[in-house]
Amino acid sequence: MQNSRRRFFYVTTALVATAPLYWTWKKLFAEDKRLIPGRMLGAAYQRGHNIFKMMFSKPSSSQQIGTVIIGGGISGLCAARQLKKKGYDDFLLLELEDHAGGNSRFGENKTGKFPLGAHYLPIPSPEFKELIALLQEIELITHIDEKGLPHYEERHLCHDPDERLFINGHWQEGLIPHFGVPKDEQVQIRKFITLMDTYKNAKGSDGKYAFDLPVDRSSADQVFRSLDKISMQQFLENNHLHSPYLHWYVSYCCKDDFGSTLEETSAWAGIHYFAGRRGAAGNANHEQVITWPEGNGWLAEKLLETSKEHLRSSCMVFEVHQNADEKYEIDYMDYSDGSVKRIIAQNVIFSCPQFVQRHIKTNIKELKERTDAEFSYSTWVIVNAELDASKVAERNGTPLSWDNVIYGTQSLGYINSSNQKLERHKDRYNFTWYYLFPESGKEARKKVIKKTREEWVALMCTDMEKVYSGFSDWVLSSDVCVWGHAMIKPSVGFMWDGPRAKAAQSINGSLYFAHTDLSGMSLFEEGFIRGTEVANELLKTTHHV
Amino acid sequence: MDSSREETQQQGFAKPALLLLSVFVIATCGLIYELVAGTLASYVLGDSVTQFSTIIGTYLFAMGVGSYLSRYINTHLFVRFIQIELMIALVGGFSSALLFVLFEQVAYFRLILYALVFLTGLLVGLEIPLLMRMLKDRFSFSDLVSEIFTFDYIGALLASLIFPLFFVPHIGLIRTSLFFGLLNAGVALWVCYTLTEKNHKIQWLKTIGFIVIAVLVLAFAFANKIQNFAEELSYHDKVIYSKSSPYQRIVLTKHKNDVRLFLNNNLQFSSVDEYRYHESLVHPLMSSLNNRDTIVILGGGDGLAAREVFKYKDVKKVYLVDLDPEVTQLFKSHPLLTPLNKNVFNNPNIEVLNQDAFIWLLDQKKTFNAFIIDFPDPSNFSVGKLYSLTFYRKLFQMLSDGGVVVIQSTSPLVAPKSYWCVEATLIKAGFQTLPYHTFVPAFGDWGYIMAYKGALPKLGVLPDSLQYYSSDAFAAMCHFTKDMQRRKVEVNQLNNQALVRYFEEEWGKIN
Repeated sequence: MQNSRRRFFYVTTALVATAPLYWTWKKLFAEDKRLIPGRMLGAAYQRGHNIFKMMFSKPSSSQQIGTVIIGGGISGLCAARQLKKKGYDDFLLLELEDHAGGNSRFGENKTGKFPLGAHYLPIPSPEFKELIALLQEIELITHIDEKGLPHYEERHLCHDPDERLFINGHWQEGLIPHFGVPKDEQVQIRKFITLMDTYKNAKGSDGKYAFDLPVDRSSADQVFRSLDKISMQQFLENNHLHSPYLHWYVSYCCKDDFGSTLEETSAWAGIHYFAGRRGAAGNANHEQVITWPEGNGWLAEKLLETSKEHLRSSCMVFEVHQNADEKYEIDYMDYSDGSVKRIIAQNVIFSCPQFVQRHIKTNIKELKERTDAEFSYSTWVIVNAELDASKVAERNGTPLSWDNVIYGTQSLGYINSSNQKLERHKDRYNFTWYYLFPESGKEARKKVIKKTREEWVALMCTDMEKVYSGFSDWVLSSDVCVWGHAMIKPSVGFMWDGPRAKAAQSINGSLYFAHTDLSGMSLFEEGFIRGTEVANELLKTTHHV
Repeated sequence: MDSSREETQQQGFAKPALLLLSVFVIATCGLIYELVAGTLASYVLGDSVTQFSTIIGTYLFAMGVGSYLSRYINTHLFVRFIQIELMIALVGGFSSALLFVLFEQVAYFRLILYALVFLTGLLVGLEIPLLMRMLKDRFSFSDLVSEIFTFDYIGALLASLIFPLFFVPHIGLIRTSLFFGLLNAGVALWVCYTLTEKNHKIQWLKTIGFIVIAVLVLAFAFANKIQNFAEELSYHDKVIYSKSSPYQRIVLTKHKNDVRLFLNNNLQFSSVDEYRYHESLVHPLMSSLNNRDTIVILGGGDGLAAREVFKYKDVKKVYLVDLDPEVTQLFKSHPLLTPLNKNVFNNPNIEVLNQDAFIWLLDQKKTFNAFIIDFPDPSNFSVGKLYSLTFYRKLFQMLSDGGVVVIQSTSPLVAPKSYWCVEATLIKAGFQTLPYHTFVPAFGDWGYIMAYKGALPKLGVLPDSLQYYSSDAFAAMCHFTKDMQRRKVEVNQLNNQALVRYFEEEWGKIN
């Protein structure tokens, strides 16, 4: 009796005590099992991968046309816009995805629009005339003042506060590390910035800027171009710049623009990030950016406006065949009705990335020869979390900004798309988190594709916990976008000794190439100029004007 | 086994083993009171390291004193134990409520804090020795010591985990201590009921136990009231209304005949001198309009500017755009507030639009002749957008020729850069400006800017019922002494938020 009573008493106590302990343990250590609703957005890679597996039937229809543009990213859209602008109507734009825009596409939820990739345009140099003209045309530039400086539509300039960095337990303003950075490292950071300013103003013996945008307008002087032969890491070491804070910062910048590490990035490309832009504006300072809640999707939509009726989306080109009449037969799968169709065209503009172009079947010898060229890509994952704004509790320092970066993590931080909104009160935020997958190549892409949406969301939440305690409880929904081939990597030697110059040459005066892969940098400016110039060249060759 | 015989051997107690379970509850409660005191002291006094160290020290020391004193309790151990439990229930249970309320009130708050901690520690210190003696004949000494301390320490671990993770974030400090007070009282009552020996003393303790539980439950239910009461005390004046809308915390206070409105702790007006502020805001503009048919008020959800507007009989329509329906509703219905704004929200000629002013303005298609702008001060980046060049450009577009705008623009004395930044931005947007300022006791020297298109508005006839403003007074208002002179400042753009930065710099100095 005595013993059984005791046992009963021990069991009860154990139960009473363990229930809350289990709950506490769960709260502290167990993973959050709450299901956050959301979607998988982004590249239709299954569709693309069909090119390997599918046997395509004979085309069910055929039409004749002057020019076909393959790929509706920024370069394709700019090519289309330029053709249209010059009065050339006889073209079609084929896009694999359901929406045009490429890396500039965007998503939307109840809170608003958010970027899925490219999300800003730095203020361009007034010397980049073509781009300035475009920005005037789409009313992003309101007027040019008496000093020749463009004035930008204020609503689209990045609203203050624009950037902050979480470093040493504090949100500092701006991304260049200074809070809690030792004196000698600050000296190195300043030295680096001064050095970059020197490069920014440097000109070659050909009278061209050492580093310019478009990149192909940069000086051909060997003293500058030879920097392509070493890595950014090597460059920093050659200049006795060893500060870990500086290395983090430069590495962050390389990841931001190129998706590549310090060791991979060509020093020429790395310096270009800091020295290639001489932006100037009448109502903004030179380092500000233009941005929208939907990121560069805004620009893509503007570009599309002029050539909407020429766009055929959900269309995958799988063969470009030159026939006996020296015309091109473009066969494509139209996913909107599941049929295979053919267009017979006089000219083709390839504005698709190289990893797509190389898999298009062809009988054209010069085109085939180009498929071996080495183009490598970074792999990105974007997670957009829609948050209950009333729950967001900020740490000390600069308040919530547009671009929010956490020092020392693999992610590139998060964009608060709501920062561009004019409303005083926000019930909800969209935080778009950018994650560069630490590996690249085929194996990395396989891994990335295997992961579930929940896994990516959990990864974002873990990263955000560094600055927001209890973050995952605030998330209302969360969409994930995986980019297996996100951006071309300007690896060592790629800019000036690599395959890009050759790959950009037109063939027979009828095959043209416009994608930013050919620039070595996945930038709006490059897509714009390549699309525009290729269209001009085509019009000139066909004596259209 | 002869169970009836066994029970009689248990010093009149039915369930000695279960009494050990109460050690667990007691230990948890004890540590919770200590943590509550430490947390509360850190909240109100700051420096959590000092607060926690001194409170833990005091508490443990008091427990030692309690243990020592337990030797003087030699009779009626069970009765004493129940009495002590009930005392802990009251002292510990009410500790955080008491400290919250007393913080603003007494100069010797620390003394009370440590006294309370000492008293709780003392009582808790008595508990365990008493329990050991109550059970000493039921268990072998080694078992007893081992079990009592095992449960004591498990309870401590439990308390230290559930307190920060569950109770503080979800229940709040006041309710947490009340809840654990209830547990102590529960133990006391349970012991009463399990005693086999019933006498009138035990009966009496039962009654007291129920009263204690009732009091604690009642306090638990009205914990919000206690919290509000504590808040009221910290506002100096009596809080007559407080509510959190999705946009802000609205608090109304009253002291004699002075009613004050606070939004997010920022004073919006004092009923004693608001007439100075609102007459100066409204009449220079109203008296200079050539056409007063339609007036737009942006902000001003208290209806006080609208009250001044309706002093002109030719006003046919007023649009009042204010974000927060809680505020406009409050000023439409509260019996203390409707006399202040002369019941203006029940005037059929006013239309209240609870919308974001920026979005409302962007949606407008036709122009207006007058805008009275009474936004909150530009103290953060969200409000700063309402003072931006983009906003003023749109305002310029929406203003008819000959129309006038007036904007409350912070203090030109305390924040001259902020004040002149508003003006510079208006000029950049294309407006002509007429800056002026006046003295409002509740705020200090306060600035406004009239902005117009074309010719300088001529001041016309004023209504009779004004207490402060006159055209003579206006001449003086337009004069700026040397320390308030216009200075060179940046234009406030969305991409630089110069105004918010000036405002922070200038008001930061004095706050």
